[in-house]
Amino acid sequence: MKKVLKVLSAAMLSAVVAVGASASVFAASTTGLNAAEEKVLAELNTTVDMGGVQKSLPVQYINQAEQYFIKEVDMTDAQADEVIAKINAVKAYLTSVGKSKFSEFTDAEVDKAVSLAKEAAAVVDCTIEYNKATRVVTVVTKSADGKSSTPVADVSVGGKDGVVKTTGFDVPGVVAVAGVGILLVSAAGVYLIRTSKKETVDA
Amino acid sequence: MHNKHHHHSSHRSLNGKNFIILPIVFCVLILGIASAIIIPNTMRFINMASMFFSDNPHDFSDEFKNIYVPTSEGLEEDVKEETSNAQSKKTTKTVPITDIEYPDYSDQFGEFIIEDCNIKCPLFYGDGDLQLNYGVGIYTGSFIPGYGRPILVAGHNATYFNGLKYAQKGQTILIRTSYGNYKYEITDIAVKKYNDKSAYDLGAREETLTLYTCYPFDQFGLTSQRCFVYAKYVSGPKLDISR
Repeated sequence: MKKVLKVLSAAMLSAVVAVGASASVFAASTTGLNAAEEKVLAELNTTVDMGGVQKSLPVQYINQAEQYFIKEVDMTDAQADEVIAKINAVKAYLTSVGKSKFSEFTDAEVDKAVSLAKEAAAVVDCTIEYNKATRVVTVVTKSADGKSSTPVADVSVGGKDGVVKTTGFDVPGVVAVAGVGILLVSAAGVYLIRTSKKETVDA
Repeated sequence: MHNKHHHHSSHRSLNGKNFIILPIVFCVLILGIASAIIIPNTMRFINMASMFFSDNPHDFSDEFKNIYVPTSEGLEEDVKEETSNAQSKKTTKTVPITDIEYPDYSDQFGEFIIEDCNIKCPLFYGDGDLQLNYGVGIYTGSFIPGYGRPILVAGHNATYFNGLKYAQKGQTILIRTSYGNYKYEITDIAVKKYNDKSAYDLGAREETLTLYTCYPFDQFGLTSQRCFVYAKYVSGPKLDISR
């Protein structure tokens, strides 16, 4: 359930970022936050009714969107309205399904929700790609000939790459280093045995 | 007869001394050298080795952009004390955010220092494999210093954040960036589960600094606990995000 929730959240945010990216062509680096962008952030902060339960986007995704707007985007009011319309389309669909848990969604319902986000990206010639192996949603812009793509934003939806990371000593790494150590010790042991045998024979 | 006795005692010495003590000494020496010198400098090798055992996605890039240029902005002399009506009022400089180079993911944009904990290392925007191999990293779902919002910083317990075991309330944390220098004061230290969402509040509307690393500090292997160090903003230029 959490995985689906994260995928949908990421897809929704990706759509927002994708639309925002369309404005970045003429933007200077670090543009600040304007009223249009604040309007979009306010919309992202609202909840959606799903089967009578109010659901919201994880705050860290909204924070990422805010910083993306700060850094790259100089959004106009018209673009903001378009983004908000897309957000509301996704929300309306989630409400219409009438289920409070994503785990109860059918595959077709999940695909429909994700496709709505993809439609938003398509408006600005962006594509949303979801890598199931790395659990990363990437927003890419296609070149004019469609042969190459440039990543615009990555949103991790992997369970292990949440807010708090793994910051400990990696066991496999320790095993690898210990393996080298054991090899060295073994080599030293073999050397000692050969040396001692040689000394015994010489004596 | 004497020679025979000599050979016999030589074998006993070899078995007792060389075959037991020497390997132990070797092991201790190798582990000591590994933990002190080799491992901190071979994290790339370690991560590569872990690829064969772990299902975690790995970042194999070893390139990052360094946009950090030390500045004196925000150091003690820039925080002026104004006195009026017998009350001390602290004024802090404000920097338009449009005047700074906002870091991209993986950029090294500052330096992180806790002198009391012997911590001094590069500060990155992002907390992936690459960033944590070369320093400590800010989670991109939090904010950069001066923004006026929560900052969440991660570091490995075996390397750059091992010194957090010496953290105590009242100690000063210094973050240096190209657009200013920031001071924070440690207010609390707590050990919590890695998935304890009460350990941080990324939705807060004030500037707080939260550091974390795996706990226990010197334990080999992955742990489910994290040591969180909480600090409050003391000084440094505020970023004006409006346009």
